[in-house]
Amino acid sequence: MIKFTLNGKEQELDVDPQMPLLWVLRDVLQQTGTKFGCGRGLCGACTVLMDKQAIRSCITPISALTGKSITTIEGLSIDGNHPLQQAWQEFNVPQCGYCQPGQIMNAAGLLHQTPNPSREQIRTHMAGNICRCGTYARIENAIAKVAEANKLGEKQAK
Amino acid sequence: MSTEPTSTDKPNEDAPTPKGSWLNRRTFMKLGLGAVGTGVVIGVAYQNRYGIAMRVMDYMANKDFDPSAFIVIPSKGKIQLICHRSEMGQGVRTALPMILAEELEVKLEDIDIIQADGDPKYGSQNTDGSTSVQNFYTRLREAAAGTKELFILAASGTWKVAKDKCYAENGHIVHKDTKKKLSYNELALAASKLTIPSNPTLKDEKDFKIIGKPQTGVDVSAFTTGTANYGADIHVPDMVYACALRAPMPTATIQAIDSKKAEAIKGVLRVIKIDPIPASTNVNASVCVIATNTWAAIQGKQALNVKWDYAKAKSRPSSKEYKQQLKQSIDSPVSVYRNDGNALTAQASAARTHQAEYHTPFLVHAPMEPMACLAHVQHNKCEIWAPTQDPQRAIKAVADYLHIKTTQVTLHVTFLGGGFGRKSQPDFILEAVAASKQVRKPVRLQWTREDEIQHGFYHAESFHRMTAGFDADNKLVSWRHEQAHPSMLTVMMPNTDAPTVFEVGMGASDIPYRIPNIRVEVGKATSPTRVGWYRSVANLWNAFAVNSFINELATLQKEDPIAFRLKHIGAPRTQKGIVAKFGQETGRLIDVIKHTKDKFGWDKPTPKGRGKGFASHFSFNSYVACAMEVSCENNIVTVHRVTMTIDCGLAVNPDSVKAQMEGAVVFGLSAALHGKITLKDGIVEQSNFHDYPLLRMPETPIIDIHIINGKPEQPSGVGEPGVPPIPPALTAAIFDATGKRIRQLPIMDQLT
Repeated sequence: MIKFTLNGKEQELDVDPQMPLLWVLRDVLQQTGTKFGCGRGLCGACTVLMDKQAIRSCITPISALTGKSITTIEGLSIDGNHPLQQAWQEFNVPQCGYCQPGQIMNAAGLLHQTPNPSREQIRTHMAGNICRCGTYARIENAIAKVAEANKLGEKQAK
Repeated sequence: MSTEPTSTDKPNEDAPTPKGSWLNRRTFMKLGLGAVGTGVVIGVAYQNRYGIAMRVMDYMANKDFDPSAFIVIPSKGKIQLICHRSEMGQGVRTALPMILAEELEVKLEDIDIIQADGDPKYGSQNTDGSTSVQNFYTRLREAAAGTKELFILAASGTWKVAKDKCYAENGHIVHKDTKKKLSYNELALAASKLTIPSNPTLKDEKDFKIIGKPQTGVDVSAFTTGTANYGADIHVPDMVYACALRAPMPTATIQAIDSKKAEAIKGVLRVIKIDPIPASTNVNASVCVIATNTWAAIQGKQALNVKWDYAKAKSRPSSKEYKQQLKQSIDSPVSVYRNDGNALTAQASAARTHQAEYHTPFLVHAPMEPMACLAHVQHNKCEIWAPTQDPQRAIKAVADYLHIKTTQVTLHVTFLGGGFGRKSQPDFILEAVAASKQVRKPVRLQWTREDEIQHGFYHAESFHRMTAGFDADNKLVSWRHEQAHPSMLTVMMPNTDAPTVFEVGMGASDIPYRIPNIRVEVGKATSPTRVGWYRSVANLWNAFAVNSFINELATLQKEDPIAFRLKHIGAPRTQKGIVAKFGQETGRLIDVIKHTKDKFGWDKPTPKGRGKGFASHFSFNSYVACAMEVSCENNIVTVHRVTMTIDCGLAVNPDSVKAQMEGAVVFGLSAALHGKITLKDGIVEQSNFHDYPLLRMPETPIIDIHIINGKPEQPSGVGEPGVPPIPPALTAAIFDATGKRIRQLPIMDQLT
C-alpha cells in the first residue's frame, strides 16, 4: 500500500511500486492533465510538484512518494486562476497546449524556490521543458510577469 | 449571378470560390432536431431552389457538404459554431469561429465552439497545407451572413416591417425605428420555416469587430488547467491499454515471438500480432501487448523477444551510401521542370561559373504528443477517438480494413498535441482498430517516444547541385538547379521514383529571379524508408538550396544579399503558380523583403563578433522574409535575434499569426541546428530527445514578427511559410560571423 497526498486529498493505492507516478495519475486515478512526452525525463511534459519541488513523474516510481504531497495541474488552483495561469492567459501562451501543464508546473516549482527569478534563472530552470510549437518567448514573459508581481508583493509586505 | 457553371476549368476542391457560388441547388440545410438541455435544437433550414450552381466537382468528399452544419441556433441555449478543422496549435478553433461570429454578429464569448466529428456534411476536413483559413474565409463568411439575413427575414416577418429596417447586433435582430429586438434564440423557430437568401451581402471590412483583431485562444483555459482532451485522455468503460513492438523496417516480417516474460508481467492480459497493412496506410507488422494500464503495456513490450525476418527487404540502406546515391542520381536527370532559354549552353559559354552542393537530412516530426488512439470495434461499426489531421482518410482506411461502410465508422477528433503532418497518416488509427478487432474491447494504443521517432513518415533527405553562370559583364545569365530526393507521393504510390512537379514547384522551379536561362531538373530517387509530409514540405530544402546559393552569389559579386535579391527580382510582376493557386506576386515579396530589412536595421553596423544573414521565400501563397543575427564561439552558435515579416493576405487573428511565426522560428532553428534522422541497415538510429535534440528555451532568440495584410480579400497560408527561410538565413549569418560556409544540415554536425 502506498500512501500519499494528491492535490490535498489522501490516497492509498495498491499498485506496482515501480509504476511511475505519471501512469498512476493518468491510468489509475484518471487525472489526465499530466502528459506523457518521452518517458525518460527529457522533455518535462510530465512535470508535477512533490512537496513543492518540480519532479518528472515519468521516471519517479510511486514507491518514492510515500508520505509525500503531490500537486498536479488539476490542483494548482481551484478555479484556474493561479497567477501563472492568469499570466498564460494574458500572454496567450499555448498553441497546441500539450506541453503547457508541464511548463506551468515546472514554473510553479521555480517560483516556490525563487519567488523573483531573473530572466537567466527562468531560462535555466525552464530548459527542462520542450515546446515543439515554440512558445518559449511567451512562457518566459509570463513567468517574468509573475516574478515581477512577486517582487512588488515582497516590497509591499516590507 | 449565372445559375450555370461558367468555367470550363476542372474544378479544384481547394480553390476558394467566388462569392455565393458554393450555394447550389443540391445543397439543403436540413432541420436538425434534437434535445439540448431544456430546449429543442433547430438547425437552420434552408432550401436553395434557384441554385447558384456550384462548379460541380469531382471531389466526392464534398458532395454532402452542408453549410448549415457550421452554425446551430437553438431556440434555447447557446449558439454553437462548429470547427471542422483539427486543432494542432495553429489556432483554427479560434480563427474559423471568429470568421463565423463576425458575419453572424455574435461575440465569441457568448457562443460555444464544437469540434466537428469526421462527417461528410463538413466536406473534406483534411487539415494540412496551411489551407484552413485560406479555403474557408469566404465560404464561412457566406454561411454566417446568409444565416444573419435569414434571421432578419424572420424578424421582419414577426414584426411585419420591411427587412431593410432591421439589422443584426450582438446576437439580436434590432428594428431601426423602434429599437425593439429579438434574440437569435427567440427567432429560431420562425427562421427554420423560411428560405435562406442565396446571395448574402458580406460585411464591409472596415466594419469588422472581430476579424483582424488579436484574439486570445478560445482553448487557453482548457490548456492551462489540464482539461483539454488529447488522444490518450479519453476513458470509456471496459477499455484496455496497448503498446506495440513494431518491425524495425516496413518490409520486415515476424519470424518468431517469445512472449513468456511479457505475459508474466502484472497487468498484461495478452499478446497479439498485428499484420502489416500496406500501401497508403503503411502499418508495420507488430507484436502488441494488451494490458490493464499503459505502464504494464510498455513493460510488456520491453519484455518481448521477437525475431524479425528481413527476407522481403529488397535493400537495407544506410545513410552514408544513400547520400552518395542521391548525389550520383543527379548526374542522370530524368525530368526537367523548368527550362527557360538554354542554361546548359549559357553555362558552357559563361565567363565565370560558380557551383555549390547542398544536402539536407531526413527529419522526424516529433510532436510533443506521441500518437495515441482509442478504437472500439463492434459488430458492423467502429468508434474512434484520435488526434487526426485527416478524418475522411482515416474513416475510409478503417472502413476498408473492416469491410464496413464509412457511415458505420464514427470518428471523434480530439485535440492534437502537435501534428506537423505526421498525424495526417492513419497508421496509428488502423493499429488501434486492428487490436480492438482482435480483443473485442475498446483499445487505446499508446506510442512511446521511441516508437514515434523510429516509425515515422520522415521529411525526405535531399541533395542539390546549383550552378550559376556570369557573362563578361558580370551579369548573372544562367541558373541550373539539379536535385534528387524521395517523393512524398510514395505514401500513396509506393513506386514513385523521382521528385514530382509539385514538390519541385515549392521553391525550386518557381524562383522569382529574372535570369534569362533557368534549368531545374531532377534525378531518380526511391525511398530507403517511409517518407511523408512535414511542416513546409519541399519548401524547406528548396528554400535552403536557393537562398544559400543566392547568398553565395551575392558574396561573390561583392553585393549585399538583399540588394542582390531585389536586383534580380526586378520590377513587380505576377509569376504563374505551379503549386500555389494564385501565382507569386513579386511586388509582395519585395515588400516583405524591404520591411524586414528596415525593421531589422540591416544597414546598421553589426556588433563585433556577430554576423547577419537573410533569406526570403514564397510558399502556401504567402510571402516571408527573415533576417537574423548570430555569434559563433567555440563551435557554439548563439542566435541573438530574428526579424521576420509575413504577408499572408489578411491576418484573421494577428496574435495567432505572430505566434505561428514565433513557433516557426523555433521549429526552423531546431531543424537547421540539430535535426537529423539516419539509417543503418534500413533501421532508424535515433530514438528519443537525447539523440534527436530540439531547441529549448535558453537557445531561443529574441523574435520580432511583423505582419503585412497585403491582400485583405485573400487570406493565405500561415502555419508553414515561416519555416523555410530560417535555415538559410542562419547559415548565411554564420558565414558572415565566421567565414565558414555550411552547405549541409544539421549545422552542429558541421561545426564539431
